[in-house]
Amino acid sequence: MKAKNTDLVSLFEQALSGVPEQKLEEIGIVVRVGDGICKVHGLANAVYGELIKFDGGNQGIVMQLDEDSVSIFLLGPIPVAELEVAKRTGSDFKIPVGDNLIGRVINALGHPIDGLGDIEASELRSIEAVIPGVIERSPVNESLETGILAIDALVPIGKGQRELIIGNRNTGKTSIAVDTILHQRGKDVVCIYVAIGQRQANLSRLIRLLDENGALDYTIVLAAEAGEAVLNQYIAPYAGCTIGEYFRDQGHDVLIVYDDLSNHSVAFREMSLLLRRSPGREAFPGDVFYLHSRLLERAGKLAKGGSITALPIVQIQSDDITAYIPTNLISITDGQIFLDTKSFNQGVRPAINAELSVSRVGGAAQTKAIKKMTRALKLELAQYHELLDFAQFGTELDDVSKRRLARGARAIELLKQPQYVTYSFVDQSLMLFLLKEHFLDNQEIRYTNLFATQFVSYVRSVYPDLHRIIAQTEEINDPTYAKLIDIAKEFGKLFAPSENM
Amino acid sequence: MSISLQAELCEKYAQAYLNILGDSLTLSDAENFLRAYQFLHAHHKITFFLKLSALDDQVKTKQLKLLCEKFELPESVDAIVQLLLAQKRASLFEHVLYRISTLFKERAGIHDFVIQSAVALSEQEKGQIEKFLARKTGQDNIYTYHVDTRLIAGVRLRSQTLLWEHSIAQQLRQLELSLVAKGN
Repeated sequence: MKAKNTDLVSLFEQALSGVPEQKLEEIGIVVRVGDGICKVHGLANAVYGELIKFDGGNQGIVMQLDEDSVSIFLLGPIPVAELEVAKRTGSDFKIPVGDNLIGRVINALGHPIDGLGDIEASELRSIEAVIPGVIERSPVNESLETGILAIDALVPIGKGQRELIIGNRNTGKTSIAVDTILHQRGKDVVCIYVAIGQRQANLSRLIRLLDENGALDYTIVLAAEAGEAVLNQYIAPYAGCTIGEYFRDQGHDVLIVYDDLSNHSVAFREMSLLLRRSPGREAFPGDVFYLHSRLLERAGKLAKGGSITALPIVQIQSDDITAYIPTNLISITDGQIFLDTKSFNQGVRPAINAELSVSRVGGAAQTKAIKKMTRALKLELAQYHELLDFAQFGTELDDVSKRRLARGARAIELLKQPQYVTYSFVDQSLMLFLLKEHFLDNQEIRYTNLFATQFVSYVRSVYPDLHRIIAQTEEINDPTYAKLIDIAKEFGKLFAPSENM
Repeated sequence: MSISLQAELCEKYAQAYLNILGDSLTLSDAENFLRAYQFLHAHHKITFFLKLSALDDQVKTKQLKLLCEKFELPESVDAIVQLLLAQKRASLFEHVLYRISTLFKERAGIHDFVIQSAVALSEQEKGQIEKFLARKTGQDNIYTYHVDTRLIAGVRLRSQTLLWEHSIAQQLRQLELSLVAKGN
């Protein structure tokens, strides 16, 4: 092991040269320690959420005040001994925030864990902040592109929205969040990925992926892994949100992913049970709703500029969205993206269930170009799924129904998208244009995506002005629309798929 | 009886005593309570005898009254002695005395300061420290002095709820923590 060059003598001299404070410190005595929690006698004036420092070097947060003692959850692994002195700090738990956090991987305390050295923070902020009031907020009316066609077309997300990503395990929840982060490159959106109770291997893979795709240039990863103290997992999303608020207050748009809040609520349940609070439904304490509502209410768009868009993730068991935590989160958020195991196993990826997914902000957060192309898409997909169920009985179908089935199948095919590949809103509107104007109807289903992507390339390379106009105006007006019809006809004649494509 | 239940019961007896008869108590009474507790704590046999059910209550009363006289405890203590005997909890007497003393001081805001120093302090130094603590707490407190060479140099002033320390040992401890935090 290489010893670091530290001049202990000068450090000690420096410490001794300090003038002692004239203030008496308020202290308490540890009377019981165990399971990451300790009971302290004394600290009569301690307040809920206050940071407490122990003589042995550990720190903790006051989580319960009793008649003659306080219960403190410990932040670090440093052992705390019985009869150890615990000191009040007089302030609640704060984390360092600043521009230098971008590109770094930190823990729930704001300390770097990427081995790239110390982070110089601009300021310290309390992890529990005052939620912006109604006067300070502005309506969600600006699109936050995810680059995922199925989401931007069916469940558009706006800046300042809270959109829940919900699904069974291994249905691509994190992939959607990661693709959305990757798509924010060059869009002046600061991304924060908060990993709660994740496996280290998964987290390491994700960090490598973000790095390889250049996403760490605008992303902060905050991780409270599964092996960390339960308190760290509990405070991680609040810490992430605090960092987001710093950037929001500077006028930036922020995208924050909480992956996932199931683990967060489990951590909170563990803490509550250790504090001997009464367990309620699914053994969660009574205030578990408030746990997430006060977190997600911090997202939003401010009238003075800046926004926080939250993408909380929640895992469910056997497609049961009626479990306690998912229903809570559904009611708190402005919509949900429901990922279907059945669709996932059928190769529909992203496996978004169009019927159960919803965005309560809806068209207000969609660019005009995409809005124009997707007016009837959700209805068509619903009709398709209904007909598909009916057709499974072997019923003979009329021509209209057969056409609807064929069209629905192509729509599903078009909405399939490889992982880590995202589309701009212009590309998306061009693809949806093909579907809307029935240009895909004559193509074989397996060539649907190929036709659409090659059409987009064709427009971009042969008609760059048209592509640029749509990008600038965010709209497809009537003359442009007419021109696009001509271009699509022209491309239809040129398109020749080969078997090995 | 579990330790926590015992502590809870003692707390309740002490609270009840102070609620009814606390107004007549003085700081010197509280100190006498503490001395009596220290004596009982050092002589476990007395508490053991109080636990014996075979021993007559009159003998126990006589023994406890003698103790009260010896340590000049107020007459009002007789009420709590009778109550403990009637409820077969005479063995709690020792801890009830301690809680009465500490609770009285807590309620009166009086701190029991233990002043540790690396070398014995002069009377002038003691006066300075007592003046400093009286100014900070807003009243006179109880001071006990100890020499603790582990401080290396400096002083440590500590009560149940307050602490002030300026010593070499403290500086070294802080230096160690900051170096560990930085990973040195």
